[in-house]
Amino acid sequence: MPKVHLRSHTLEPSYDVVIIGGGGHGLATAYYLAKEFGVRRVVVLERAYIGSGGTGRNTTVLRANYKTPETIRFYKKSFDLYATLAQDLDYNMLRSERGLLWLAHSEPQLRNQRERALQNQHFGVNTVFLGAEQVHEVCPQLDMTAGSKRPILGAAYHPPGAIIRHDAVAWGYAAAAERLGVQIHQGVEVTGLRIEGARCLGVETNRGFIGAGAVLSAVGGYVTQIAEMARIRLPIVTHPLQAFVTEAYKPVLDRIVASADLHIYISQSARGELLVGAEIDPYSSYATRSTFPFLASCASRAIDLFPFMARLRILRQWTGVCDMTPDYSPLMGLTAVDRFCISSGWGTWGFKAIPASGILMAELLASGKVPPLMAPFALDRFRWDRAVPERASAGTH
Amino acid sequence: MLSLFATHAFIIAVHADRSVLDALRVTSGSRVARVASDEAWIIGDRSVRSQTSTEAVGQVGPPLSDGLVVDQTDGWSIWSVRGPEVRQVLGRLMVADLPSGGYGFVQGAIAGVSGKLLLLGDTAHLMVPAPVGHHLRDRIVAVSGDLGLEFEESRPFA
Amino acid sequence: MTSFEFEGRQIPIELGDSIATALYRSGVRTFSRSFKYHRPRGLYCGTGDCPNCSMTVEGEPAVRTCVTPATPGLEVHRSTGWPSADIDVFSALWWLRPFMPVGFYYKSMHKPAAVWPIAERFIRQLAGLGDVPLNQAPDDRERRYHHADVCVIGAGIAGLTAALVAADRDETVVVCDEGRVGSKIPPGALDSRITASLAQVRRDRRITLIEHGTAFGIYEGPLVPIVAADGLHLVLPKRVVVTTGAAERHGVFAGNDLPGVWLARGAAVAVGRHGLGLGNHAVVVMETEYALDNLASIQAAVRIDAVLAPSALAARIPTGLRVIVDGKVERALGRARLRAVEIRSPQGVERIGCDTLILAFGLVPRDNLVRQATAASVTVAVGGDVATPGLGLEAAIASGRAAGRGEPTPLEEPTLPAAPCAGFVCLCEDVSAADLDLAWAEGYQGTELLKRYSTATMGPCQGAMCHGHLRSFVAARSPVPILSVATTARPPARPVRLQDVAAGARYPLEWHTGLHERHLEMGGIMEWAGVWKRVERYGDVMEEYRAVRERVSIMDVSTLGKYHLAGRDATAFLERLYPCHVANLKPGRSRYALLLNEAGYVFDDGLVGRFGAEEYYLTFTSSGADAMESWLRDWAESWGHTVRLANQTGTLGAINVAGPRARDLLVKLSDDPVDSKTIPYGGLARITIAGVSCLLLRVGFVGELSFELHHPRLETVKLWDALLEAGRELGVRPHGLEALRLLRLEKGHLIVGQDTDFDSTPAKLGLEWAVKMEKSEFVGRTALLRLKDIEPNRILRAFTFPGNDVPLEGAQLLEGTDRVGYLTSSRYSPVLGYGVALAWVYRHRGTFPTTVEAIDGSGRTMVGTVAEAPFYDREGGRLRA
Repeated sequence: MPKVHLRSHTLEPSYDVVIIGGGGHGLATAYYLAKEFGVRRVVVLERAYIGSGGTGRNTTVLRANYKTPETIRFYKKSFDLYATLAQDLDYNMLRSERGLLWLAHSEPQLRNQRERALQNQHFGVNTVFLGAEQVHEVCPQLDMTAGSKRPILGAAYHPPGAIIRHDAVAWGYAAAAERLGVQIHQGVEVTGLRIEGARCLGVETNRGFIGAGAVLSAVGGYVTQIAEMARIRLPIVTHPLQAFVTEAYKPVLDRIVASADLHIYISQSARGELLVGAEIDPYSSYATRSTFPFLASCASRAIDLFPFMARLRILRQWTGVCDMTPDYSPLMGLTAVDRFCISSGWGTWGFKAIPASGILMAELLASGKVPPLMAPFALDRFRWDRAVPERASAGTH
Repeated sequence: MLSLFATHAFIIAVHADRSVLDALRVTSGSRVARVASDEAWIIGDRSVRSQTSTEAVGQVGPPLSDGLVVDQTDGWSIWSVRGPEVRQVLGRLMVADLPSGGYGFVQGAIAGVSGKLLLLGDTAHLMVPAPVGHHLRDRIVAVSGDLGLEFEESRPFA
Repeated sequence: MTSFEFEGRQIPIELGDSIATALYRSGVRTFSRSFKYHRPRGLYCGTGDCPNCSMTVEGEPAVRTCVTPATPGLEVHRSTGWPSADIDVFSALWWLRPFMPVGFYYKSMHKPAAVWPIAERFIRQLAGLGDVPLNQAPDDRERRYHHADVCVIGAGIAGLTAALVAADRDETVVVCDEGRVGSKIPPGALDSRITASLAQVRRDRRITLIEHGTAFGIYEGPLVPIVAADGLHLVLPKRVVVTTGAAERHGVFAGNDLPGVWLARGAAVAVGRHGLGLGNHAVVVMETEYALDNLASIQAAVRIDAVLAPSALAARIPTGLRVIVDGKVERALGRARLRAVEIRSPQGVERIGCDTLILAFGLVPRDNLVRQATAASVTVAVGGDVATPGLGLEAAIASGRAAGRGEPTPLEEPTLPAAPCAGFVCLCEDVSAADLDLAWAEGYQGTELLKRYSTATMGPCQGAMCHGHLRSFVAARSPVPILSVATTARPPARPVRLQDVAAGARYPLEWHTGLHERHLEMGGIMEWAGVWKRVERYGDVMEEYRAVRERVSIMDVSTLGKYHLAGRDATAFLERLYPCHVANLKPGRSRYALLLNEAGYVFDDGLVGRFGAEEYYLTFTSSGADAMESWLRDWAESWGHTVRLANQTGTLGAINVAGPRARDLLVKLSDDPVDSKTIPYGGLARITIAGVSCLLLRVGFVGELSFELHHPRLETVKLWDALLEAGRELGVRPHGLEALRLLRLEKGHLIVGQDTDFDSTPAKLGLEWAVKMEKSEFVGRTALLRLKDIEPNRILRAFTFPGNDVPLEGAQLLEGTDRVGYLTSSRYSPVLGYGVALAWVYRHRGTFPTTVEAIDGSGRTMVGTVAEAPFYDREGGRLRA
């Protein structure tokens, strides 16, 4: 008898918690609500299929090597949860520790990576600063001259850096949440929020109204659309982010390699495909169009770092949308509307945050109190000049 | 036969209101190219550089108008390609469509850099910021391998 | 006789051979081993749509040999199977399949936790289509752009017709085909028409034909990239015509992947074009009438024991052949080769021994490019088989004509095949119907979820063979249409090499100052500063430093952003833009200015200089130079200000002359007065130096008397040489960025981007003096007003470290065990005899720490004390000399 991972249910008229968005963040929150806080009348509403947004489109890197105390603590918690997630959820997500190299090709980046290594070490995250020769030892396939254009001067090396099967994170959380009584409905689109006197009563959907004790918006790049329903303005601009993958080859690259100067990161999956990502497109859009200039430019930079990639074949390119915040840190917590919370602003840094985001959000929804690890990411922090600047570590910008 | 040479020209940028630029007149065989609604370039032979500048100031500057005339000659490298295959070379360097007639001024990416093309019959004057002039030269050579490109002495603008 | 090398043998090549047909003729039957179960795979589609014939060619894995021409001297070998593709130890995995159901890795090997890392290493070794060639340097390929009226993708009869029709309307046409035109067509009426049309196309000067050119995408624009032997062709047409034809439908039944099973078109081409033999006994499945044409060629190559056809077609099958009316293949039998088929018909089940099974289930439009175009909002005209599979010759030509005229032929909703119940659905990934059953039962219900969980359609063919089967599988189980929707089509439509896509984009792009060659001649070691190359140092950094502090030194600062600004609203504009006063700046004076964004954060700095009433000169630090133009213009436009803005960043070189003897050097080269009365600190004047007309700015970032000479770029070498020559007796030497970093730090001058962060307000930087809040309006004022009452949580402060032990930049600062900040800049100061630094410090226990311990990874702990910047030339006496 096959073990059922995902069931179908009848939609009920109300739940204790309604979560909008069936990506990693929403599903993880649902799971932890049931597992850690005993809240089981939870429904996750997903308008397409689970994991169809950022969770299924990212470049699958797990790391904790950030640059501010607040984010280091947050991502370290997430990273540690990821380390035992397969056992906790009883779902193998193919997590593989590979070691992450963050290359520096210029003076400013060298300084940045050294600072990052020192900062990480202070907070118990394993990152070391390497000189050029050591970088070569750690990753011999690298062209240290980067195509004779931008020689690699050094790097911050994060040995625990890992890759994982991104879809499986959504599936694992979904299956485990279902086992605990959570309901997941796909093909249900939230069309509005019912708010009376600054309090959220539930959501309007294409399948009717669903009452809720509390509502969480856990959608990614489309969060501004949900926020509008609550008449909330978020300091978010949505940008496309593109990536591509090659055909599957025998193992040739163990490390995960990122370069802030070249705006690129590369890894090889367990299946043998080389996965390549870059920086966000410089314009704002909700469209998930793949473009040629990105492909050509990114392929060129990949060849600069790994000349052997020149003859590998690109199998597929795709695009996701990223909800970017001014300081490249997330937006999490309470809003001006009572009983309506947001987990958003995940930009290009959302996938690795899923477990921490889920468990902290669950705590907020269950207790009504903002957990200390979430507090720095409050929606109104810009008003109080308390930004959490992470541009240098959040992506390859 | 395809030849490549550096062209020595002056480039005088004239910034003024649209209507003032519309009425801009230059003597002496120089060319006027409209870069934007409020910016025009006068491109010509260096022997009449200062004369042209003075004339331009007279037309757009105070007290007539609040226009600004700036000599931008040093800021641009001009590499010129001449020969029957010139359009082939351009098609390997520029995304922008080329004018079908014998003359045209096109702005766009040239070898990956924002630049300008002045097409005069079978001669293409490619202009990029001076700091990347070396790059343009290298790229012209790189893409023309099969076309028999030959270097020639630099010459004045014609 | 020409030949190529295959696993130690020489394989003879006949005219028109692909690598696959040459290999087949020489007796090769197992062309690859499948991805998961290492099952032997033979030639199947013959049109480049399936993965079976993939081999390593010239070191490159995953090359589809059936569409790659055989050329003499190639080296080819099979990339899958160990120790060889013929005898593959891993074929035993097929017997382990009960332990390896779909998604088995998600359901196993994670408990205990130590298992997966070990298992993963093993699985990685098994996966992959072939070894990556590690020692070949990338080829240098170029690109060219084509601006045509029409781009026709696919040069079958419909495509060639479309191209000719468009050309007749005086349109310019680029038409491409991924192979040699006609190579996928068996001999016959169609083939003759293609030959004739091809000749016409070649003669027509308005048409550019690119053979062996793979158009792998239709992007927004529209833009059609075509990879060809001579490089990358980027076509920017006004309209696109897609005539990519249709592929033979993949047959799904038990045993369907055995070598000996052929798709009809592939078999017909193999026989008709290449004269290959197909074995001894064949069974043919004929569900569509177009395949009737191929029967004759196939008959010539192999004995046909039975033809399975629906009753409507049965009557048209030539007499002499046994027809099983409404017969269906239940299963194909055999171990490494096809040996028999089991057929179910109204008469019952029958087993027929055979070594060849030919499938004509119908045609599937190659609509990947069309779906891509839709995703990119590009309207394309479609013609031929891709629009309506199975068109007869005349209908295909008519369809091509309509497409050539730009008439949109509505794309038929593709008919889905029967829902698969047994056999390999996805050949690339070894996903069977049973696998899909299990995945569905586990809850992965919908094409997208099924696709991702089972990986069906995610292999090299990207669903060309199996996409329809996946959809029909879902449709049969769920009435909800959204679940069986087609998966999104994305580029590339065919796998393309990175170097082909990157063609023409591989060059380095360095911005050089006018002194670049000079610097190299002088032994300058260059470093990247944004897009520019600048001198890090010429030799001994301390020598350069001492020259600045003790004598005189010059530096190339040409990378500064420089703007000439005029126009009737110039003053009003700058007043509103900058946080400092501009209106009260006298002509001939300049002022240091911060640039704030609307949030009140510093994002650049520079100088504002005034020439006249409405004429200014603006400078910005190097990293921001060209982006500033957009920023300036955007603000002017939003305020409705008329300003004249000329970017002179590249037009003017700039040389900084600094040191106590700086003025002496200038005096030697100029007749114009440069005394401190004529040109005080902050002055701006036009003077001639060494015969070069310069704009002189008295600036000061290093705590010494210093002059910046802005001059025409073409005279920069002359000026530089003259300064060095005249300065010889003063002990002049040039200095680079490394010396500058120390010099400016001693003066306490911060570098935006290094010492500042995203949210650095002037107050946090100790630069409140540069902001005049009494101004009624400037960019960022509203934010700063609001922030005035909010205590900052961190500020930039100066620190000193005693002795020679200076912590490295990036060092973490601790108070006790708590991290309270980090160093952004730090250097040992020779002139002061101790270390100087700038650091961000956080409020700790209510106050900003004044004594910190610095940890920089060297093992040392150094104690720093807060200080007042500047460290050197505190009163500015040297600066204002």
